[in-house]
Amino acid sequence: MSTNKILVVDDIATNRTVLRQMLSRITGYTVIEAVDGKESISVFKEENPDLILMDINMPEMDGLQATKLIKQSAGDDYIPIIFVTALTEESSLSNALASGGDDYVSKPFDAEVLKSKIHAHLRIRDLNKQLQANNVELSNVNQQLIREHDLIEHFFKSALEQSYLDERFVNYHMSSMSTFNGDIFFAQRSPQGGLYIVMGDFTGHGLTAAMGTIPVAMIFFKMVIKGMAISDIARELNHQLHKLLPTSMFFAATLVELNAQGNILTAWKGGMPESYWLNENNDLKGAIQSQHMPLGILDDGDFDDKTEIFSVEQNDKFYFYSDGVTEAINPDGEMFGSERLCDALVSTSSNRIEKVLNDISEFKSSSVQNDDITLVELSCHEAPELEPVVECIADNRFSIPWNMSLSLSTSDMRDKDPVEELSETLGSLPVLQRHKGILAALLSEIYFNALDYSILELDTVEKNNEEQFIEYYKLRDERLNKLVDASITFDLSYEPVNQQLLIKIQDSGKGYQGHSSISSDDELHGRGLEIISSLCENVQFSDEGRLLSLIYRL
Amino acid sequence: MIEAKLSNDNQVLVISIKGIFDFSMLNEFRQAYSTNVDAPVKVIIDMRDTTSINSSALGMLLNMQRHLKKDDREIEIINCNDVVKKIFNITHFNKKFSIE
Repeated sequence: MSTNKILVVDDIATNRTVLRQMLSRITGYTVIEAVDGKESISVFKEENPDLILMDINMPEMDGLQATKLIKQSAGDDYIPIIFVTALTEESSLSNALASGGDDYVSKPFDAEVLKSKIHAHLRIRDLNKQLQANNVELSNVNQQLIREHDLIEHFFKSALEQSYLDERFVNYHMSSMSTFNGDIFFAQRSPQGGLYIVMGDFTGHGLTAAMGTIPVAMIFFKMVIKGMAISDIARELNHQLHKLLPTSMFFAATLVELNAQGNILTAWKGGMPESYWLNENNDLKGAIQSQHMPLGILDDGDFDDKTEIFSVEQNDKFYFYSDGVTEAINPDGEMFGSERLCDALVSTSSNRIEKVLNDISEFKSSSVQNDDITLVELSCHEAPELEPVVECIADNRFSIPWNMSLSLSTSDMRDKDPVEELSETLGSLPVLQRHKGILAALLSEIYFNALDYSILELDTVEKNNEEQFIEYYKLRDERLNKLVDASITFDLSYEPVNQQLLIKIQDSGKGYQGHSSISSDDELHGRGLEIISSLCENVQFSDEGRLLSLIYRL
Repeated sequence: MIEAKLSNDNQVLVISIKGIFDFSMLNEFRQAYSTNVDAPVKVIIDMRDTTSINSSALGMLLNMQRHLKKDDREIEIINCNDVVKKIFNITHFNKKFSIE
């Protein structure tokens, strides 16, 4: 244990000696001295004592003044000052304590009393030191917390900036982000023009809740850019959050898509308050109810991605909100509730968000409470044309020519979809990546022409109405199952110089060179060749229609 | 894979087609528009997950149109990718159907 340093301040040497002798009998104390108030200040600064015994009446500077100055200079450090005095009048004593002194002993003093007082004050000083250390630590933690909140805010804002926030479609209010309350709202349009919204509420506040926004934003924006269905987005969010989040954390959410025509709204909703649906005339048309548990709770097998579909009209509006809206409390402890919310919504056709916020703040009047409110309005309109995406094509030109040949036996034709496999394989080549979909369509046309008409000889079978159409595919199945010893061969050559793909398809059938005529637009067949010749050049039949060759430009 | 869903007011039937749309989906597709079809005034074909189509699918769409036109139902084809759109254009299906 370190020794405690005690400063004795007295102008009379005898008094200092008496105190020194008394204190030296107690182990653990060292005694230093000052002869008046003025000197006590400089000794205090140099020696940094743990406790001061202070006389009051001294020349140069008295004990009261010295105490004031020492306390000032000590700041938050607790330096106990005990007056040793002959004064007995109460007013003088209170003066002494008012100047900043912590205690007093009257002369002649009792050694035991002085000892216990010193001991008590040193204990307080120790506690104070501990408190100071804790405060420093706390303040560091607090700084850290502020930095983390800044981070959350930064992240959330940049995610929100990615959002599509055209006021014709989306209006919203979110409480300030000083402490992240777990509410999330993003909106984005898909390449097909559909408008997607995710609005939800993570359990908990602050950093814990904010952690979840990262995967939600990433998954949401990524999947919307691909134009994926709401049910798929819900499933993926649930899958990832279930994997990432601790059991006690989950994400109540509403996911909606308004299609580009603005007439179909698809919603998945789990654990959120109902959303209201109003038309132009301020009629409440309905509500989207929660059908599911929040995201991140169920495993994939138990998760239900079922969505609800709403047939909507132009200028219909939907209102999504966090429970902070209905749970706003007035001074009587009453909640704002969904009835007041509906009343506010149907009372006006413009600025409904503002109206709701005003009503809530009026309702709350003087009651002080947190302001965790998120309110989103979605207006149904036909979507404006999106800026065409300028396709960024990497220069994937492959300079070496190649050939590829694929021979299909009867069982390949029967059991598999060889075209799908072939187009998957071709599509994985960098040079053909961009053409994958069109090549799939093209290969499927030439393959089915060869198989259906040349090998299975179905070209004479009528399919002009639904019954014939079904009959056709029945017959096709029968013939395909009986088929023996047939073959179809694809030959593909890539010519880098001309940037073209030469495609040949040879079959073992009777040959086919196209239907004689397409009698009307309503014919259920005969479009295959139309598609083929529009997509390719140099379409040529030979070998009595058993060999078809064509050129596809890249 | 084909999925059919009715809107909550039973006015709209949304049929989603996943993968390559061709005759392998014939029965599934017919079932999607011929059942559930008492009430809806509109049928929407959602092709967001349709990777490609061929001429057999065009025939299937025409069948559907004939079937539904009897009762004057509206048909809309939405969310087509570029490949599907291109084939609709080549075959002038964009004139016969309302295609987004």
